[in-house]
Amino acid sequence: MQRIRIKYKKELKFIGHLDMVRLWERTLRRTDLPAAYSEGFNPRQKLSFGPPLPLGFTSECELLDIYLEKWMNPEQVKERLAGVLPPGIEIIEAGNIFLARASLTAEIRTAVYSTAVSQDMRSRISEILDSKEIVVKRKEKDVNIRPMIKELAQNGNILSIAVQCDNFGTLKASEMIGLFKDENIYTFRRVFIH
Amino acid sequence: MRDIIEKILPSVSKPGRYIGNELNSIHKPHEGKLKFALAYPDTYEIGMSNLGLQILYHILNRRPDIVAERFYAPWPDMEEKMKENNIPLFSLESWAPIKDFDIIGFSIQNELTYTNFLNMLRISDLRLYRKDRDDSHPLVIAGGACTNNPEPLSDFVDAFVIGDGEEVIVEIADAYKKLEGDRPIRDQLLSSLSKIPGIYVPDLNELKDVKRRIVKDLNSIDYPTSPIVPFIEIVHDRATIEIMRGCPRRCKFCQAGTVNKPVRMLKPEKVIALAKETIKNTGFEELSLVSLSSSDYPHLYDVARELGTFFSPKRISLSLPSLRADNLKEEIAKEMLSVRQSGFTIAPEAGTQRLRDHICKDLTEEKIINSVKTAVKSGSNRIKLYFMIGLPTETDEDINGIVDLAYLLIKEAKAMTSRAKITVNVSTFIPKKNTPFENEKMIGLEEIKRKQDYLKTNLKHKSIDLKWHDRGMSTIEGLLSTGGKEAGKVLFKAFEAGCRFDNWAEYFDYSKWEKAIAENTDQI
Repeated sequence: MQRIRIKYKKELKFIGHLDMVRLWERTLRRTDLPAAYSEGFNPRQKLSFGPPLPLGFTSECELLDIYLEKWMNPEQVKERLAGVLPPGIEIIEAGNIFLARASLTAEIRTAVYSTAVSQDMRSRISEILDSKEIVVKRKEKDVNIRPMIKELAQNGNILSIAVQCDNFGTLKASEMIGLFKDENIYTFRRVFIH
Repeated sequence: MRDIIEKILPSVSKPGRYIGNELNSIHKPHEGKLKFALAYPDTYEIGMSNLGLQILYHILNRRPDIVAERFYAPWPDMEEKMKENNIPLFSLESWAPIKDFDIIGFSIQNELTYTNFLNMLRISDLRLYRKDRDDSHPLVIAGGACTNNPEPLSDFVDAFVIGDGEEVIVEIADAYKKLEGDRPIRDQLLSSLSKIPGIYVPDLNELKDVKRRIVKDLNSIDYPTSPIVPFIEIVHDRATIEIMRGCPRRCKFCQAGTVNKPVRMLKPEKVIALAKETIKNTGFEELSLVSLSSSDYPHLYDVARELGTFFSPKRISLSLPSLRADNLKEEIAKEMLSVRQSGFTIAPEAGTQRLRDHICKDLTEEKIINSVKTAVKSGSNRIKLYFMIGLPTETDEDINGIVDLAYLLIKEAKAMTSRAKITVNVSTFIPKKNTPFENEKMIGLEEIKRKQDYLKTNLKHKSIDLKWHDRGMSTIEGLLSTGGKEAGKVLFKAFEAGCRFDNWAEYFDYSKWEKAIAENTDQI
């Protein structure tokens, strides 16, 4: 078995995580790559994904591990997949990964997002960074999202935010957008995860 | 407009419905081409599941001089946002307003989508009544199962296609192109359409003179092998190959079986070639061989076996809806289950032999029992049974027959596996046009309730799940599937009262329809 990590761009803003899983399964099935399958009544391709991208966002750093039954050159895998991908998804690179290495969701801690702004957001940014608590409602429960914000800055016309993105917590799209209380800020691009 | 749409999409449910750009969708410049809108008056997930519309999309777009694009009914939250921002109904491909198209072809498969049809015209800023539209408006045509009874829509639709659409849609486009000058003169166009076999143009020809359009040989149809692969999950989220059109059975209640004559079949080698090519181009995990009665397709076993062998390395499952209970072969059952666990469906339709004989449902109790056994033996624990209430000549004894048969079948199935489960689906008989039962009466609301209540009280078993159709919905479906022009007046009133998505329990409002009917009693 071989594990190949794929890094790709996603311009499809409104396609959610589960739809992306199906999209990759179908993409792989359109090739003749020797995909590995799970056992059982409903065998599925062995794929493992990085942290879900919030609906409404684009990304230039999505990660996905695919498993193959037979050894293949990653460059060749990249080429075959690229030939049958739908518009809006573009593979940046593909490379071998240790089979035993931890899963993507276990490794990733932080996601960095950015968006273009035309106005000066610095006072709002200070306000956010200076507050100890920013409380949002999640299913009737109050959750303080302030600790999930790791970095926040404006550089020229680019607003960047680094947030917690792991199994213990992550910001929702609406919560991230809601921080800025500005109707011109309604989408972000994921630029880096680590 | 694109910017505004992008801005409103994050705030609506399932925004993936509205973005288009799916794999195999076709994008062409509009310049110099005949612009054909293909519209389905329900959600994206339902409309995209319709094979007919995928075929027409492909046939039209194959022509270099035509561009065909898709339109579906926006969900009420999206409609509201569109209204707020002055955005008319737009196509999935180019996000162009439907008003910019030359012809709008609606696929109308279900009476409970009629209010959505009207609403799609309204939110496109098009006049609903055909008499109010002129040369500056697109031509509005309709096809699909509901055109068996076009009159309720005949004040709104310019021309109806009755029967198979694959050939006639090209003839319509050609008739339009022939008249191309500045802008085709509406009357001239309608007059030429009225001369095409299978087309009903209200006021220009008589419905009784319109002969149903039939594609003689299915093998001549240019079926798409690269159908659109949706991004979001749709109702029939799989590759679909039509193996047979029409049905050799003669069930008296069935409209599709009665009007689609003769039975036509796709050659087995063509089925296999289409199936393989479609899977290659789409990557679907499931392929469905469809027809009204797939087990009557003589090459079913050979086709299923060959496809099974080809599909199993990629874990692609084969599904066969509409298998008949009486000739279900174990080999086919096993082939279907080789990859994924799925359920079996059997439609006895009536609970007693007397009533099954009366409606010409060619099934005996013995055959039904045997097919349940076959299904369980080949590994399927979930059996779905379909019944109707309100059939002509039905008595309480027949209703009780449903209870007895369900108990008998669960006993037989349980004897083979303790995990067996049966779902009993009960719909209400609706007389349909052009069937032997077209003049039969439909039972009223109270009687539907009484019969449903009887089943709810008497069919209680931990392994039997009883499901029934909403009686108000069935009543309205009955009104529109048998009514004439006057039913169109009721429809319009109900639409004006706010009826939308009538086949969706969360939106169906019988009281509004009741009021619309009451206001028109003098006419019905």
